[in-house]
Amino acid sequence: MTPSNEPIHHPEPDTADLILEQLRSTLERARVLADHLEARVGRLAEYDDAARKIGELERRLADYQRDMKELSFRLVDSEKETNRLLGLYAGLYQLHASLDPAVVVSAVHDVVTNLLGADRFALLLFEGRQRTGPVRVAMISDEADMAEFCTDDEYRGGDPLIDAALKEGRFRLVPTKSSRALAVIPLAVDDQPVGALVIFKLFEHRPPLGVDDEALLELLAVHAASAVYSARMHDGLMK
Amino acid sequence: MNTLERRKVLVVEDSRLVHMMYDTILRKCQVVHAHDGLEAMAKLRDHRDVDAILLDMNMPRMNGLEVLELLKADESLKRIPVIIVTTEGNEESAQQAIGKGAAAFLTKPFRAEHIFDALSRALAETPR
Repeated sequence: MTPSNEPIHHPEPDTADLILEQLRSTLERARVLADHLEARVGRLAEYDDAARKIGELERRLADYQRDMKELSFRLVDSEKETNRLLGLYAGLYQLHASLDPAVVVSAVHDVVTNLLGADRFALLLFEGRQRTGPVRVAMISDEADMAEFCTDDEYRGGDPLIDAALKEGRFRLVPTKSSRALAVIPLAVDDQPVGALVIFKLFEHRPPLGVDDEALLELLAVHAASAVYSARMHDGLMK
Repeated sequence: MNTLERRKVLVVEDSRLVHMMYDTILRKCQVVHAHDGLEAMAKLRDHRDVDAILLDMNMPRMNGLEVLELLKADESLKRIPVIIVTTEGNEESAQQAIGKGAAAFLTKPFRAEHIFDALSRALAETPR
């Protein structure tokens, strides 16, 4: 600005007050606006914080949902396991609860019916201690199932699955066309076959035998065999 | 309190194995055992406060359906929910049992949680 000798015009006192008042009002509005702006900025920070918290909560929720899914799978597994153990415990207890051969055979019947879910089955046992002796049908739910292989209560042989189980202790779960049996479980004590449990038919509502049944079949193969063997030995001694 | 806790359950079943399984499963209940239908009816004379019955179908002397008929014909016993647990899993048997008033129909081999569910549901509708 260039210096000037022009006189300075002071506003009239009324005009000066007016301008002062306008300035004050403008300043006040600016202050309100500044406060407002500050509040907005504060709220924006709050929003950011809330968004962060929501993100964190969503992550935790996803973790919980994943954990819950995992836990429900584990619950199903543990229920399965509990059922398996319950069956094995009750089955074992019943199989070894008596030394009377008839009671043991009845316990085998109980396990096969109520735990395995077999509708038709037969229990074959070697007559003596040697596996070369005659094989007797100790129990059969439907005689028609083995009529062609039996004379009275003696199994003559002829069913390839049953023969393999009796001679070689071979366990077969998969049915073949050459046999009426669904599964043949060799019964052995100290690796010496004492007989076989032959399953011809499961209850209609029961799913096919699978990996879940392995423990029960193993129980039958080992513990039914030793229970039957012990009972027969005891019976022989008593006689 | 759990729905099953301290409830009295009559188990009518001819298999000793299944009785043992019920004893293990229903630890929180008071379990009364009967091995056939006739024994069940006799037990009910001494245990009028039975809360639920787990009933097998195939039993000597008196089968499950006969027991069910007797129970539902008796004014003082017909309130007791009866859950059929049987190896006979066909639709006809189930409909017959439900038609005669059974509260539920389960098949063997059973799973413990199915017994719990059926009992809990039946007992939830029965006052203590």
